[in-house]
Amino acid sequence: MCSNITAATIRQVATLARLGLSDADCAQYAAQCQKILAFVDQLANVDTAHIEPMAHPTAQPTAWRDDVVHSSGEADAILQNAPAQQARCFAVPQIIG
Amino acid sequence: MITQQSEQLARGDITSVALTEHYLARVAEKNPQLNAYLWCDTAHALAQARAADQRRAQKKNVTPLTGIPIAIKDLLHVTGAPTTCASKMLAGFQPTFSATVVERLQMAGAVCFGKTNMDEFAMGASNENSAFGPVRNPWDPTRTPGGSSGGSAAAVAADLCSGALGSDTGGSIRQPAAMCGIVGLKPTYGRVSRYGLVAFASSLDQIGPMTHSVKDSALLLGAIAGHDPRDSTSLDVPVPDYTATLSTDVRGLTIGIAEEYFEAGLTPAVESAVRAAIKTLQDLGARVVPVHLPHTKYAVPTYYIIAPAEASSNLARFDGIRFGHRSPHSDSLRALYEASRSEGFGPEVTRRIVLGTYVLSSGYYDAYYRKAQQVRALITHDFTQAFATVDAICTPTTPSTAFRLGERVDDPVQMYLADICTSSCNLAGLPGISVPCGFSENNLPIGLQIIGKNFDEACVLRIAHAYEQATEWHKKKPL
Repeated sequence: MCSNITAATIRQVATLARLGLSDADCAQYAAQCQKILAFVDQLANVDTAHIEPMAHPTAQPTAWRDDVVHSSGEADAILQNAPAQQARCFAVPQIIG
Repeated sequence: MITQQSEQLARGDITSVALTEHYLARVAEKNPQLNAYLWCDTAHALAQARAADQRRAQKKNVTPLTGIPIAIKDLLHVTGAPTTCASKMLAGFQPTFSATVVERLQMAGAVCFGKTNMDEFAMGASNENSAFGPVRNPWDPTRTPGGSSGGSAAAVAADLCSGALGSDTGGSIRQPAAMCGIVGLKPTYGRVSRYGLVAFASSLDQIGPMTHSVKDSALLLGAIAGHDPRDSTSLDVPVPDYTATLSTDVRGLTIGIAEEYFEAGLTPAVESAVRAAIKTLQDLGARVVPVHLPHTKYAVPTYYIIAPAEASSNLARFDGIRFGHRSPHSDSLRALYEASRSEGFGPEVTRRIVLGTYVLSSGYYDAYYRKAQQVRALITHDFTQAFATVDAICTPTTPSTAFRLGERVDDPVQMYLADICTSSCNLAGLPGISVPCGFSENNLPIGLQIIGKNFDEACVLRIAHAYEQATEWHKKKPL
């Protein structure tokens, strides 16, 4: 691992993460992330050959449940949290011109 | 505290309404300085207290928690109360359901008393990342209470509730508990349902009790633990009566000491207090032996790859469409996403989303995320080896006592090192508790961490209780 994070890298990552960052933000996050990645780069010293990656602390099988539709009856309450609604739907800016 | 209050309620010496009013008055007096609560509503609390008094009067479904006011970290949903996660992103959000842990507390008759301040979306070790201002440490208001459950820790330490719930992803219960001089328990991953907890890092998050005493911790854990089909990672493992297995006797138990934890840049006060605590346990009859956890120093770097990676995925849901902040400054869907997210998230959350997206992105996934998952397996294997010969492992909870507000805000790596003694537990899924074990020269609390085997919270609580009963640290209170 050899981290070289520039403002352009942050700009690209911000696009992927849908974050609207200013040029000054990108420069600041680049400097901070560079330091953080330099710190985590010490993991390169660990021999992990033949080690299975661990995604989760419990090796349990996937939990299954019956494929049954339930009504929560909460639609109106959920819509109360919507920033904008119209005809019991979430309203968003126009997508198709 | 809970135990005594419960006895007083049972005898009729006090009512839940009187107890709740007592805490409401204390919150009104102390919260303007401490900022431990983000929301505390008199009518909401007293309605529950009246119902609890009625239950006791009718002798219907009375439990030791009936009528006891418990504070709830503001990332757990409580119907009738807002959930903000201390973020502008969720200002005004009203959940439509309660978290399983809240439902269980309310079934037991507890009063869900108020919502406590925290680092935004639980990301932080000092509570300075709250969008609603930092929490101050009751022992010294110029210092942080730790984080991210700093509001819950300060509320318990300052006697603004009987007990509290926090959540712990890399130390967020245990670290503030140590810095505020209270008891904080992170249960085994899967022991407590995460349903209704706003997720930060789903393979690490656990909810747990923050209390004045170990007995209170046992009582609260017993109430919230157990399988929940609504959380697919909650495990169907029997829940013992944790209060029944508390004992002052640790004879026959073997406690491991890992010197790797004492190489973590501890302050002299922390090191001497923790070594003295281990000596006390030895004097009480526990056998103390060395164990080796050689990958300990890699826990923080591993954590700061895995946790941001999971966070970047979990926080993708905050897009300004169905709930949460929506920017008024956007004319297209994409601009709406970008503006809403950048306006709603604070700098630390943004930094972690950026970092998490980077380590998961094409070209870097193997070098960072996969590598961290492999080291996580090695850290877990270290514990498995150690627990073949010991019942529990004692370590410091934090390398230092509470630091000053503003001291580490410009240096993320320095801030992240506050998790150096706690994050291994989350990576391996193990239970860990912090109990008060001393004070520094400037009167700041120090915590002893006791780590147990998976699902062996009973052993962790037993050792913690024995230590607590043999010492006086837990009796000392902030001004």
